[in-house]
Amino acid sequence: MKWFEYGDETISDKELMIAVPSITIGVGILSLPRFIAKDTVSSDGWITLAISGILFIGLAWLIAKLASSYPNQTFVEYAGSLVTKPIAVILTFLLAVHGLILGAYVMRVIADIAKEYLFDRTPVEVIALSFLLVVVYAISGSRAGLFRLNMMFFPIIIFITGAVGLFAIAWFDPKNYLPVFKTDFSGYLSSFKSSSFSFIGSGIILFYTCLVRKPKKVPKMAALGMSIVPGLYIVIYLMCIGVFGNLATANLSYPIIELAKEIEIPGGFFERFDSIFFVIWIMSIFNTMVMAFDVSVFAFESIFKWKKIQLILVLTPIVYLMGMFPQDLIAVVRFGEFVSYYGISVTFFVTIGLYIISTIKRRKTNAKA
Amino acid sequence: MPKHKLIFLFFLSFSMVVLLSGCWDRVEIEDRGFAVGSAIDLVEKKANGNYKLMFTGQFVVPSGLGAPTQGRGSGGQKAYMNISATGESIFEINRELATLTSQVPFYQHLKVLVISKDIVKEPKLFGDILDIFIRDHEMRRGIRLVIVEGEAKKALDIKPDNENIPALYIDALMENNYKNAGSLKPVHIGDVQELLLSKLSYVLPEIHIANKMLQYKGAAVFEGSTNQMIDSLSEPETKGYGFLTEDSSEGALEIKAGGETATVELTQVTRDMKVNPKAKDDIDVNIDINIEANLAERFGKRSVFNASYIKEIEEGLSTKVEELAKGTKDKMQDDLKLDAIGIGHTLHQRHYDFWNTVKDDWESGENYFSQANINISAKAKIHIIGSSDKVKTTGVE
Repeated sequence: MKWFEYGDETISDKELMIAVPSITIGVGILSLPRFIAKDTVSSDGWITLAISGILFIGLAWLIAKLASSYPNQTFVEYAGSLVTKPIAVILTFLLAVHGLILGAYVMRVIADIAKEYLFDRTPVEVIALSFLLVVVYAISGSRAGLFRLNMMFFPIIIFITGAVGLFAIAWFDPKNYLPVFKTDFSGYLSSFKSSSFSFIGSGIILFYTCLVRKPKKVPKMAALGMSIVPGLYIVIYLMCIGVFGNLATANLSYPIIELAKEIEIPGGFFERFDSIFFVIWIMSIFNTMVMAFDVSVFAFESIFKWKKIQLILVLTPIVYLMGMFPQDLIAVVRFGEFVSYYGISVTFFVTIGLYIISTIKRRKTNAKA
Repeated sequence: MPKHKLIFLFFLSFSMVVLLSGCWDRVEIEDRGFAVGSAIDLVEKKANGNYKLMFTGQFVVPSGLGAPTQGRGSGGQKAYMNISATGESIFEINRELATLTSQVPFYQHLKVLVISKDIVKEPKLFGDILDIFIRDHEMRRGIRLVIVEGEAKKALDIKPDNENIPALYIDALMENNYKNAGSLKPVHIGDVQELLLSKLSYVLPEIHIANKMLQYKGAAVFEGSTNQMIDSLSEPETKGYGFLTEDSSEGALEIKAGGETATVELTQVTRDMKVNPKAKDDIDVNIDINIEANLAERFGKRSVFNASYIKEIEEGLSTKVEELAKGTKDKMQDDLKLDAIGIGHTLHQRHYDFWNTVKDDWESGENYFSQANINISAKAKIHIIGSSDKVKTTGVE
């Protein structure tokens, strides 16, 4: 028996561009409009989203700039040349752990939401396990295949968001957007904190750039890919505010799901639009988890001399147990906060640190020459 | 391929067929009781302050609907079944309901929720009973909510000859009827959540039981902070409310023009509210109502092709609209002192900083709302006069 394999395990820069929003857009946006609406007045939250969006586009650009200046080198290789091998291994480990806990968190949240809306009697453990198994199946195969899967799913996700917005027009009240610019600074600040949780994921560029055939355009592509995220978030946020108003949005657990539930398409067959929306959104969450899990497998591969399938067999139970560890909803929320803080700080410090060191080193070699 | 590998693969695929094709949450469609309507009544107020409620669910009986080829209703079987149970919380009643029927109640297709006036007249109870309809994942936000005078349960038993299921009758009635000024736009339960969360007063549509039929008219005024029903609006007052808030636009109005009676059909009503807060107790509110209408019917013999006559009709129409709107405004401002016409919302949207200074004393305490100077003016325009000039030469003068 012969397994089908793709010709090469490299990707194009466009595939990396789509991978960035694919991992970033996931469970965060489902509840994000609530957090933002709580802290801001009427529709002012878009400012928060735009500002944090620009910051994270900058971060994505910086990460890609750093990674692409060492073409076709893995993270351990180029980080090793900057900060010595043992430290590079530690950094790789820290980033790989982020992929694992992010995957575990995403798995738990989607299992919880699916139980609440779709599977009344199926235990959360079973939903999470079946989701995890599909993810594991996906990452056991070709890595470049995952990027192609991202490319395939992503337009569908954009399409369904557009469809929700289109059908929601009937419930739209433009008056909900008034007044504008009335939020005070502390309101922006606290909404900024919660919104930045939904922007994590650009750390994958650190690892995947080495797969890109021609990495010259990667910084531009990464920034472009990242800019899709705040764009989509702002559209979703304004849709929720326009239909529900600020007060109701601030009180709905998952405003975008409720929006899909509110829609009634005449004709009976599509009357329950939320089920279609759910299916598509699970594809987006699948993308997030696949990329998060795969990047940590990829990272571990570079520091342990193990085979990929062995790593997956070891990591899968760990992810499952981590995801199932929080006992109740509050614990899941706290777990999510931990994942976000951890992810933001690790990605941020590793990138900034390595970037500064790399600039200094380059100056030195230039000065010598 | 070696034999033991083949056997392994066989067992693997066999176990997958068994393990992966199951569905934990499967309920056969025959076992589901599709609820389309529901009603909530108040049974009694207990001594300890709790309420005993009665919840009625209306379930579809598919065999009563009959297949299209058989013609409607096979053998006179009813197409619906009402089941009632009592208890203190809706969820608890629901569980009890499930023990009474052979089917699993399924609420995802629920269309209508009818609530008795007895419930909404109790303070804070209304918000509490609606909680489950918004919280539960089975409930959709598009459920239409209506208040009924008397027993809500009875409204779910009224079925005219052309309809099979009372709940769908109520649904269609509201959807089709709000085109008559005098009935309000049907309210979704999702909208009600916004109203409940807001501190401002609001108005919900009412339904009346009359002679084995239902009438969709009138409205109930709710106090915003306790979500308690304070008063009802009569039919003309509801019409005026529609003009003030744009909640209903189309419909017919009977007017007096130059001594003759004429009826106009409204095609478009737009409202423009301008608020000018000069001081807390000196707020100018100007409400301009623009109406476009067609002449539908008239008693009299004058020529319609006459600029002065059209002008008279337009004047008559604007006076009538002003009259209706003022009546509602006076009731809200002077009798009830409740701002259900949305001036607070406009202040919040347009004069946010000023609103923050008055919002705590808007409908209570100082009641700045009742001190506002509200001016209403209406402008009417007649577009179409019909296919004839005069229909007769005699007429009631």
